This record gives sequence, C-alpha cells and structure tokens, in this order.
Amino acid sequence: MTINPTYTDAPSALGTVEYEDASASTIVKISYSAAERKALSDRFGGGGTHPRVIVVKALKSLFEDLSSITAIEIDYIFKKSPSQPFEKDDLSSFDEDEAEQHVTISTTMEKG
Amino acid sequence: MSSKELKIIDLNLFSGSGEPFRTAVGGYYDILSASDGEVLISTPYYNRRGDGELGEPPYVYPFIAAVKDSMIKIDEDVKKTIDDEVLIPNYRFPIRLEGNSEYVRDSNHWKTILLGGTFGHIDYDAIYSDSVFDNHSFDYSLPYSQKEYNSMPEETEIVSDAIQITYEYNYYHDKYQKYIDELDSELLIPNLYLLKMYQIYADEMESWQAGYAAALESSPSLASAILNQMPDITIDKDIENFVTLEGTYTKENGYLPGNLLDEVNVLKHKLRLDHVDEKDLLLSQYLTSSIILNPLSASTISNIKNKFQNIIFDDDVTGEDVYQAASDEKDIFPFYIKFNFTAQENSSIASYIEDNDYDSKFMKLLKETFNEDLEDLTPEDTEFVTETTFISASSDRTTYSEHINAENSEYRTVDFLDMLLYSKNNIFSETDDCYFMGNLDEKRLAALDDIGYYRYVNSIGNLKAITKVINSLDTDFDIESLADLYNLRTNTNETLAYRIEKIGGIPSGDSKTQNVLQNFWFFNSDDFMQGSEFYDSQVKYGKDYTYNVYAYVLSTGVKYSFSDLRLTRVIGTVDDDGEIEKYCLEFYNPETDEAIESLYTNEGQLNSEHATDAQLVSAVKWDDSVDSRYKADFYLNCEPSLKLLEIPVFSKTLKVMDHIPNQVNISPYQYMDMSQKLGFTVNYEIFNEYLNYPSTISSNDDTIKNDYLNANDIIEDEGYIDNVSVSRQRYFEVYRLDKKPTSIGDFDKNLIKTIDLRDPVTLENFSTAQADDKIITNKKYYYLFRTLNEQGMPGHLSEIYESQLINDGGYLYSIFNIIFESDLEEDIFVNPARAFKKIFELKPNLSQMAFKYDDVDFDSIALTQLENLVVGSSDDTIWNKQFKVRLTSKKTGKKIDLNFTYKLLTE
Repeated sequence: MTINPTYTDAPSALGTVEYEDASASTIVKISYSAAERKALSDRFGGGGTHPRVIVVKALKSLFEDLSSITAIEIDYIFKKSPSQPFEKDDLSSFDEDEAEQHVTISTTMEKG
Repeated sequence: MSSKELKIIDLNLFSGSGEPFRTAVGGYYDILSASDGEVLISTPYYNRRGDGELGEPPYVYPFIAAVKDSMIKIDEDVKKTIDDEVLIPNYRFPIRLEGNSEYVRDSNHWKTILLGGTFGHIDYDAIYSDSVFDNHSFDYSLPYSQKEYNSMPEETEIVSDAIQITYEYNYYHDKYQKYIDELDSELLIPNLYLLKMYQIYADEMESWQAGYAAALESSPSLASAILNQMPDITIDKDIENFVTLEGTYTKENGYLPGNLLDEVNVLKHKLRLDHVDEKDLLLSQYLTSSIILNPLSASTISNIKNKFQNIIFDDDVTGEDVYQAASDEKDIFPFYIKFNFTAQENSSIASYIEDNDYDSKFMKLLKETFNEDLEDLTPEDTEFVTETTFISASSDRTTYSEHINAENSEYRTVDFLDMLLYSKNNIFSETDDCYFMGNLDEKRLAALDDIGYYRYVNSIGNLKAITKVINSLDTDFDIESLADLYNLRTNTNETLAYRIEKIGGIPSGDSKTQNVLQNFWFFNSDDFMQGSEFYDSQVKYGKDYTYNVYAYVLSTGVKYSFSDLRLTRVIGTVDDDGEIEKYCLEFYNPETDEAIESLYTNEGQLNSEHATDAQLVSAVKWDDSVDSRYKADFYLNCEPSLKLLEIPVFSKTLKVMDHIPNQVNISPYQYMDMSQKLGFTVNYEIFNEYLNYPSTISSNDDTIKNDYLNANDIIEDEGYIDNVSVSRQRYFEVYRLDKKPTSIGDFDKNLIKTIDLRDPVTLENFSTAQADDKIITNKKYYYLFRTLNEQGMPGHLSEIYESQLINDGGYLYSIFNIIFESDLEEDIFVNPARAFKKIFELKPNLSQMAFKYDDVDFDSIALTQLENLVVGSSDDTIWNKQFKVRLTSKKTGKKIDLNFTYKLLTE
C-alpha cells in the first residue's frame, strides 16, 4: 500500500485530515485552519502553508548543519557492512609481485 | 609530429633484463649504434609463419628451433583458468619449445640450456625463468612548451600541441596587492572560481525563493510545481564564510553598499565591463579596501587553509556553467596564473567512473594515494625506459632537427585494481584536507563522508565501476599466444586525471626549498581543457611559483609467468637399416628427474603397452640436419594488469609581473647663466608595440628580464613586447657617466637621480619631469634615462645623450649629441692579421731577372765592374717601381688591393 498525500486550501475552523481508501492506495487529505496557516507563516515566513515546504526546509536546515560535520554529535554509529571485503587475492591469480629489473639505458640520436 | 612522442617501455622488454626468454626467442629492445648516435631497436618475435606450423629459424638463440603455442587458436580446451575465485580473467596455456639438435648435444645439455649451469666447461645463462613479469609499455604524447613552440621555424607547422603556463596582469590595485601580501598563506587569497560560484548559486537560490514565495500567495498549485524545482544547492559553510567574509557581503545585506558602488562603476568602466550588471560584480568588492575591514575568523582561516591544500575538480564541475562563467569574468581579478593545454581524450575506464558517479570518490582517492596519505595504499617508484622523439629548431629558426633520446625514468605507479579494492573496503573518508569545487551534491558529500551517512552511495558507485572495469577486461584481454605477448605492442592507455602542483611560499628546511602549497586535481572529463583554460588567482605579485603538471595515465597491460617446466630425454631410438629414424622420448620434471606427462599435444605416441603418458616418439626429421628430439613444455600464465602512472607533463617556475613601461622622450636644455647646469625634460611616451625587451643596466635588471621573458614565453631578441605596462609610470631614473660607455651595462651603479612622479596632493602621477645637473665645463658627460612603473619594472631606455658645457672664455654654450646603443659597439680586433692562403705568387719575368752584360768589362777586376752589371734585360725594368694588384670577389664583389714594390737587394 502506498500513501499519496494531497493537500487542500479549503478553509476550516480546525483543519482536517481525511483518509480515502482507494483500490491500491490511501489518500490523505490535509487542510489547515486560518490560525494554523498564520502560525506556519510566522514560523517559516513567506506565507508557506505547504507541509512539504516545512519538511523540505527542516531537512535543508538539517542538511546544512550536516555539511559542517564538526558540529554534529553522532547519535548512532552504523554497523559495518555485512558484505565481505575484497582481498588482494580476489583480483590476481599471482602470489608474487613482478621480479625486479636492473637495466640501464641511455641513448641519444639527432637526425637532420 | 605535432607533439613530443614518448615510448614508455617496461624494463623486462630489454635484452639483458631478468626476463631471459624474450632474448632467446625475440620480442625485445636493444641499443643500435649508428653514425648519428645510438637508438633503441626492436628485435621482433620470430616464431610464426602464419600457418600455425613450426616456426622458422633463425631464432636469436641458436639452440632454439621453434616455439609452438598455436593450439590455443584452434583448441580452447588447452586454455585453462588458473583460479576461478579471482575476479579478473586469468588463464594459462601450454607452450612447447623445440631444441635445435644441430647445436644441442644431448639431454643434459638441453637441460643446462633451459635452466642454466655448466656443460662442457661452458657456462650457460638460463633462458627459462618462473619469475613473474609484467608489461605496461605504452605510447604517449606530451605537448611542447609554449617557448619551444615559439622557437620553431615560422613557415612550418610541425608543432601544434603546446602547453602554456603564463600570467595575466589586468590592473594595478595597490590595496588588494598589499592585503594579499600580508596574508600568511596563498590559500587565503580570494579564489576566482569560488567567488563566481557563490554568486551564481546565491542568485539561483534567491531567485527560486522569490518565485516560490510569490506563487504561494497566488496559486498553491503553482507553488507545488515550483517546489519540485527547488535548486539542489548546498554550499560548504567554510566556503560561504570565506566568500562572504564571514557573512558581511551577503545579498541580504546588500553586497554593494553605497560607498563601494562608485568604485565598482569606475572599475567597470576601466575594464570596459559596462555591460555587466553591478550585481555581478561581487568579485569587485574583494578588490577594494573593504576586504581589509572584514578579516576572516580564526576558525575559517584554519579550515580554509586545511581544505584548500587540495582543490578537486570532478567530472561535473568543469562542464558546469559556473566554471565557464568564472572564466568569462576572470579579468575582474587584478592578476592570476593561466594554464592552457589540450587534455588527452579519455576513454572507456573514465566513462565507467563518471557514468557510475564514482568520479568524486575516485578523485579523492587519487589525491590520497599520490599525496601518500594512506598507509595501505602508497604509490611505488617504478622504473621504465622512456624514449622521447622530439624536434628542436636551430638558433636562427630556419631549420629543425629530430632528436631521439632514451633513458631510464622513474614514475610513481599504483595498481589500479588495488585502488578500487581499497576504495571498496574503506568507504569512510580518511582525510579532510580537500575541497570539491562546486555545489556540495550527494556524491561529493559521500566522498567526504567520514561517519557512514553515504555508505550506500560510496559502495554502489565503487562496485559498479569495478564491475564495469572487470567486464571490459573479460572482453578486451586477448593474449592467446606467445606472439601476442612478445610482439612489442603498445598497450592501451587513457588519461584519467591531471594534477597541477603548486610550489611556493617561504623556503624552509635544511635545503631551504619551497614547499607544496596546493594541488589542483582534475578529473579528465570531456570538457576539461578542451578549448578552455584554468586560472589560479591565489598568487601574490612578484613571488616565484613552480607549477608541475602531471597526467595520471592508466596502462592496461599484462602480468605473466612461466611454470610447470618439463623436458624430454632420449630413452630409445627407432632404427631403419642402422640409421636412427625416430627417437623415443620421455618428459621429465627437471627438478625431480621423475617422468611427467607432456603439456602440449604430442605428434606421435609411443606404440607400446608399457608406454606412459610421459613418453612419445619424436617427429620424423623435418630437415636433414635438425630433428625434434629436444622438447620443453611449460605453461604461460597470464592475466590483465592495470597500472596507474603519474607522468610529469610540464614544469615551469614563474611569477606575476607587470609589463615594461614605455620609452621616454628627452629634450635637453642649458641654463643661460653661470650655474653650469644642464637640464633634460623627460616625457613619458605613448606605447610602442614594436620594441624588444630593453637592454639591461644591472644584474638585477638581468634577473627581471629573464623572469619576464620566461613567464611570457618570449624568446630573447625575437619577440616584441606587445603588452603595455599596467601600472602607471612612477619614477624616472637618470644615469650619468663621465666617459664614453662601451655598453649599456657601464651605467650600472651610476644612477645619479630618481625622480618620483607622484603628486603628493592629488596622488596622480606626472608624465613629465625636469632633470637638472650641475657639471664641470669642457667635459663630456653621458646621460641615460628610463622609467620605473609602480611595480618597479624598468622601462625602455632613452638614447644616450653626450652632453658638454663649453666654456669659451667665459661664454658658456652646450653641445648635445645623441649616441645610439648600436654606436657603442666597437670593433674588437682579436686577430689583426689573418693567414692568407697561397693562391698565387707574384714573380718577375725571366727578362727582369737576367743579367745584362753590355757595359761590363770582363778584363777588369770584378769589384770595379759591379756597378756595370744590370739586372734585367728588358728595356722597361720593374725594380723600385710600385705596382697594384686588385682582387675582386666573384661572390660578394668585395675588393682587396695589394700594393707592392720590387726592390733589388744585394747579398
């Protein structure tokens, strides 16, 4: 099941959240009251009432904070990848390195 | 030959290397001595006649009759994978060696020939070795330097590929120059690309925000659509602080405050940038005194100095508009270093990297590898022989000659697959001393990720690139015979990246050498250096910087070894009427002497119920003298090998310098009083574009001249100085000598006056000045004048003014003569006499030499008759008369007169 949120600007005293069951998805309809719209506008500016704006701005803010990584406190350390690391043997059938060579060449020729 | 052509040859391809089998059967290089020098010569592999049959002698080594490996072409079963677990193609196939029975004495001799040792008091070097060898030889080309390019004969177009590192000096801005001079690191100097990038990104983001805000008010559906078009722009916080001077110059604050606007407009007009909007001149703010008022914070300075040690340009950035836009407005900067060359075209491996968004991670890994940041992945110095073919012009630029030089060269190399493997196993960023030019997009963030946020991005890009590379090896690796291995072919190669290393700053260490300040790393994308240039604005005026350009070239070569050697020994014969028809042979392991089966398909099996797989009958003699009783089987094991080499492309040390001030016009005069003063009105002339670099006075001038000509790729006395001095004239220098100079250098240490042209009130610089001088009368003085500009660059010289004040009984008058520099040259008679070739001899006719006895009385005493003896029987004698002989050259028409007199001497 996938959730496809849709939004409406229909005025309402309290704001509403509606769910519609479609055949393969649930549609969530969200509308805001005037008070909610004002609060959002005060909080985020630009008259933005779109929930996605809120999310995007919040993510963007987080993203920018992450870019200055030194300020981040790490809450969670990811586990190491369960996949096996490659070994050098996986990329060559030879056990030895190339034999060392000792040849010294110095030639010079001028034509024309 | 438009480029310098390089042949980079693996050492084991040379005769005398540790790979002896090449020397035995051909497929190696050697040195050929010729009348005009020495040159490398290849000895080809001789085996094949093209029909898969036995090869024809002669082999280089007389004991070898043939090498057979043809069956792999017709029978895939003999090609066996060495190790199924290994990801890259790896296989082996058998090779049979046929000994030449004309020279091989017996089975022991055959063994000695293969493995080395002593036989019959003769020492033999082994021709078989089970060591591992590789061959990464390839052909490459390098550009000529711009100076070499400029020195080529004018009529020919033999050179087209050139690299130039020079500078542009656009305008003089003393405040900017003073500010950056005081910075303790070049890395803190404003960066041309960053300023423009920030401006464009900020514009783009602000423009979107404005559009979105407007749409929200009017149409939510339109706003929703605009939201999906939000620019994906994130700028590194340190960069933002650096560019905006800790937020002082953000758009929100109005980055063109009133007190700067006028200055910007003046600048625009001066640079003929009237068409550019003031808003686009964010850069210009950095070029004003305001930058000094807004110093960076300690943390920004520290972070920038760390990050800017390595600036990485990955695949995307050089193709982006911001890169081009920065280039278009580069001239807003007072000066910068400019790089111009054509990058090599990349190929498949580069596309695997960029198509899988692995370029950022790869470039960071490349930087870490060749900066030797990583303990487990360090480049090694690998020796090759590099043969370079290039042309050089004669000093008069009328002819040119081709040179072929070969010598050992060491390149830093790393196994490319090891790099990819390291990248796969180490997805966390290990260093942070780098900055990716451009927006902090996902792949750049992933490359810098040291906590695992982007582990998937890093892993997937890396794995896809590895898979693509391995798949290409499966397709392209095509060693199927010894001939394929030994044919001295050039391996495929492609240039994946470039690095410009910048060395400069205050010398340090025991050897007082300058250090690496910065590296610019460039992924060799389709857009990089294809008609574009790169600029480095982070330089100080007049400081030496050495730039080393490196190419990172991937050679797709081969790694191989021989193994499982087995030899034949004669265990019986097949006779026919007492004559040996065939030999019964048995293969054996030379290390254990135990019988062992052959590897190669045998021509004839031994027809006996007791025969083993190791035994066979030799082929029928295939000519009168040679049979095939001596055989050796072994495997050729091979796999592809990818090596990344750091190839030095070009190196140049240069500094940013102003150009040469113009000539001066001199008007001499005399004070009409008894002050004994002469004077000169010195006028700063307009620019003359048809002048060479002026003659130098002091050794410091020589240094400046050499630096200038070198930085601008000008050949001495051949190129006009076609750049006008950027800074204004500041000083007139007056030199004086009291004896006639023989060269301009004689004026050194005879500077009598320096006139400052700066008006202390208006701060404008005059272009005219008077130079007065009190002198002794009736004595000649020699004056020379020149200009120094604001940067102290010496200008073109005036003529020399021979000046004297004549005191004629109290009446003073002046005489001024102009002496040109060419007049100073005096003939120096090193050889006042020259030996004359014996071409002719002037000898009197016999009639002039014969005695005339008419008046001689032979009866008298001889002494008394001496006066009566006349020399010359001719009526018109030549004695004591003058003659002239004139020689006229048929070639030049020049004449030589020889005046001579015949004198009669008495002995």
